[in-house]
Amino acid sequence: MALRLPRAPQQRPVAASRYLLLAALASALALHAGNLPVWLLALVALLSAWWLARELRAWRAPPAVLRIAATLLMVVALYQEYGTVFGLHAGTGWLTGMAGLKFLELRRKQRDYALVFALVCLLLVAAGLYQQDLSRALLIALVFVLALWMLAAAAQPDGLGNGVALRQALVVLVLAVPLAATLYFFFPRIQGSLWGLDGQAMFGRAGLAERLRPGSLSSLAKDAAVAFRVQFDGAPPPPAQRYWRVLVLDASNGFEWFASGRPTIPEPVVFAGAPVDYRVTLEPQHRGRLPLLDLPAALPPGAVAGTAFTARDPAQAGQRYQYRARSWPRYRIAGGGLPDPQRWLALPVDTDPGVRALAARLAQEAGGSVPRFIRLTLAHFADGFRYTLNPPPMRRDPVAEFLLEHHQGYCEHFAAALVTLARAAGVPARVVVGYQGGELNPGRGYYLVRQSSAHAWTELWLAELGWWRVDPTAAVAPARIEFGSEVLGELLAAGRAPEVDAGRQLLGRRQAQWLAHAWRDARLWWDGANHGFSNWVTSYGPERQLQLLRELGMRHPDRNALVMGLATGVGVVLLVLSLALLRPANRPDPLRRHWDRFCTRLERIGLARRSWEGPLEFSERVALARPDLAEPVGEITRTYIAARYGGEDCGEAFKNRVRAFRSAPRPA
Amino acid sequence: MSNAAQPRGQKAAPLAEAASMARALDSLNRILLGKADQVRLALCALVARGHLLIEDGPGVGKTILANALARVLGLDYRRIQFTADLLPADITGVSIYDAAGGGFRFHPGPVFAQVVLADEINRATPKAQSALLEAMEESQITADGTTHNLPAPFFVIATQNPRHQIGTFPLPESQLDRFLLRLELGYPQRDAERELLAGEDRREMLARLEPACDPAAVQAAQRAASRLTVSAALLDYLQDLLAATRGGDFGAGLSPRAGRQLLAVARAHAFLAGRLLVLPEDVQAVFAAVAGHRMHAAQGEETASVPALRRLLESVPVP
Repeated sequence: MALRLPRAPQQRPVAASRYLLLAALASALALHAGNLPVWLLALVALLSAWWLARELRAWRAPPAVLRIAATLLMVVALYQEYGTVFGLHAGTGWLTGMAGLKFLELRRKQRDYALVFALVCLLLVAAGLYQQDLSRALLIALVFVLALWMLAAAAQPDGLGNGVALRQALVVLVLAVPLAATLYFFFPRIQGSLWGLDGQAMFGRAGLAERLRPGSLSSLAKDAAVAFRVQFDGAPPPPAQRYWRVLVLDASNGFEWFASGRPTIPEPVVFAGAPVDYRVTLEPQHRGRLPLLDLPAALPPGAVAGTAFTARDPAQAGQRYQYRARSWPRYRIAGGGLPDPQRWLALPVDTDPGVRALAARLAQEAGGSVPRFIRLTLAHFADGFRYTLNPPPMRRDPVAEFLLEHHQGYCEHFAAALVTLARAAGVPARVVVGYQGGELNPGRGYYLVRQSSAHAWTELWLAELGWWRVDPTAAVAPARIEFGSEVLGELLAAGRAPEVDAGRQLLGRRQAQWLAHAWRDARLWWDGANHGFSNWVTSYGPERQLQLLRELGMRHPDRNALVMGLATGVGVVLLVLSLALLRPANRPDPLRRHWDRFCTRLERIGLARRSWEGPLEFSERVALARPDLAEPVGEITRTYIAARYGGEDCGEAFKNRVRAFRSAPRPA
Repeated sequence: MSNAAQPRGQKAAPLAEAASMARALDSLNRILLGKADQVRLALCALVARGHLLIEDGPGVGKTILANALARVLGLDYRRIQFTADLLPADITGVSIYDAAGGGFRFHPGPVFAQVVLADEINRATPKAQSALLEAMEESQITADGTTHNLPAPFFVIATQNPRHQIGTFPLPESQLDRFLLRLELGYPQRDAERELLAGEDRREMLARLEPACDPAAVQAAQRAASRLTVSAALLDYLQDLLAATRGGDFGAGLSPRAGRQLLAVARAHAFLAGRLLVLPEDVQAVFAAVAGHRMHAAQGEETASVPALRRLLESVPVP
């Protein structure tokens, strides 16, 4: 391999490497733009501009006193800003400050460029700690190539094109990839997060709020961020059964609904039909709440039970987590007597009298029948209530304002209102918060649930049937349940009724619009790529590794053997590479290679050509030692001499002769 | 060296000249027994248009070699015995007033011969030595403002006795460089000496010796040899060799001129072997004779010894 690496001697980096240096550092800092104070970024920009001006105008470098003073000032300022040198935020800040200070003494020396390269690399590592999706990874890779290019360009002697440096950088990168991938996939994974950063609330999204208040779900309505992805083992349940349970709220203070945290008495459940098995890949979110399809049969391993068939795993908060679960879409919870009914009937004492009156009127109309009460209430909602993504602000008593004044709201308002009315009418009720729906990624066969699918519904107690799911949204906006919040949003924006037919029409039209269709496909494809990336890169943990090793045929992977094998393998690869690099770059011409092969062949029968021995002398010696070989050896030698010393073109003849000689019968 | 490995594509014309040289070589080897290498090298020097220095004691056949060479090649031959009182004019010739012709007439000295044996060259004064060396260099003599061309081919064989240096004027390094080759004849092998003792007198044989060719053939051979193919691979090897002489065990390496001369002798050697191309073997065969008197061992004034030169050759791989 005739590979030439940048040479070590201290040469003056070429002019272009200055701009590459600025570009690499600027793009690395751009990845941190949101995490860094503005003054720091401005300062770094200023220092780098000053440096560039010095370089271009050949101004003198600032004196040492100024540099030391600037360093001290920077230390004070950074300490004022962060108060610590530890932690990701502070660390990034300090790194950035150091990079800025480097411009005070950055000379056109390779060593300086290597240092900036190291700083850029550290900033990129930090950027990877903040966010770990595919787009971020690609950006980091891009900036890394830029930095590598800068380093290669700085090592180039003057006058060589920048294309050479870029090619060099890419070659180095490509050569490093197999080694990096091998180590990534096979070096034993350690349980837990990198550097004990797990559980830090700064990672991931807030996701669903713990408390249901006006705006807590409608604020998510336009949030296209992925909440989780689901892969069903068999056929997926129909859209109307895709209720993902996250929280059950039993208490209200008049403004918001929340979980009282009182221990739940296990509720007996009867399952019917066939279970659904699925695997959820949860995006990082703060609280470690695990969405489960209504109604889960058992909790995922390691999870803690929450109120009424909900689960959370605090250990997985803040990171991407994958778990398997089994649910029965057809179920019945706790028929018979309700334990602790007061818990599900409690209302704040200052519940609006108007609301109580409405509840009383509906209950009276229902004549004591709970199903009738539900039907009447839903009919009340369907008649005159408007479902909207932009409900008017409700400040004091959202339920009363919604029920008696505005008559418009989002699923959170409908759910809260229904539970309040039910409780006021003496029907035990609770709010369930979670996600509803999911978008199929046809290419990869998984369902994508976005934050915009966040949903709230209710469970009402029917004496004969137990807890019964009632979704008021389904009554006022069936399109939401059938087609998801995106279609619903479009219907509402177009001023159409959120009915199933309207949604179907919309989808039909959308199919016809190829551009929108392609855009949608592209988005789904991108999400699929992201999913693969998170599967194989970000959430590649010990279990995943074990699974991979098993798939590769290792029955009982052993950590120590793995480490030893990797160390040996990497050592051998590095050895071979260094030998290849140490070999003279000019590879012998074909003629010479065939001649060498011929000589090797003779060496095996004890007739080694001495290095200083000319071809003629050698062939004569061989002929003397082995008269039986005299003829072919003489023939080959003559051809070789004619070609090498006589400048004759022997073409393939020589090669063929050597080949023939190799296959000649061995001496007895 | 056998001609078994004659390369393909030989053209006929140069072979004719090579054949006459091969015949000359055979005749010489019949007279000088067991000295095939030295005889071949001597002929190489002639074909390469150079001069020969033989360092050896008396009675090992220096005169016979010179004389036989001249006879076999059909060249005329003179011998100059160098002594301490030898004057330059004794070599080059003198202008004497010719009463009959009414003016000075140049009487050519013994140097005006095609083969000149300068016996015991280190016995003469540097002045006399330089007269011969200048003639060797310029192939002409200038006396009293007139230039007299020396015959062609012009071949000087000088001898000196390295073991008897008292009262001598050893040739300085720069003068040694004028000689293309330096040889040592040495004592004959036992069987060769036996044949010598049993056989007839060499001088009588010499007198009967028939020329194998004529001066024109010698000059044709010289031209043909200088046109032999030299490949890039051989030049690589030659350069490696020259680089190896310029460091390590040796005080002084080979100069670029010495490199050219080494190549010229290698060409002559290849030519005498009947080849049209020069091989590393040719360079190796002539290397000691060309390089020996031009190089010094790192310590002392000694010229490079044959074993040291052999080691040097073996340190340079044939590319």
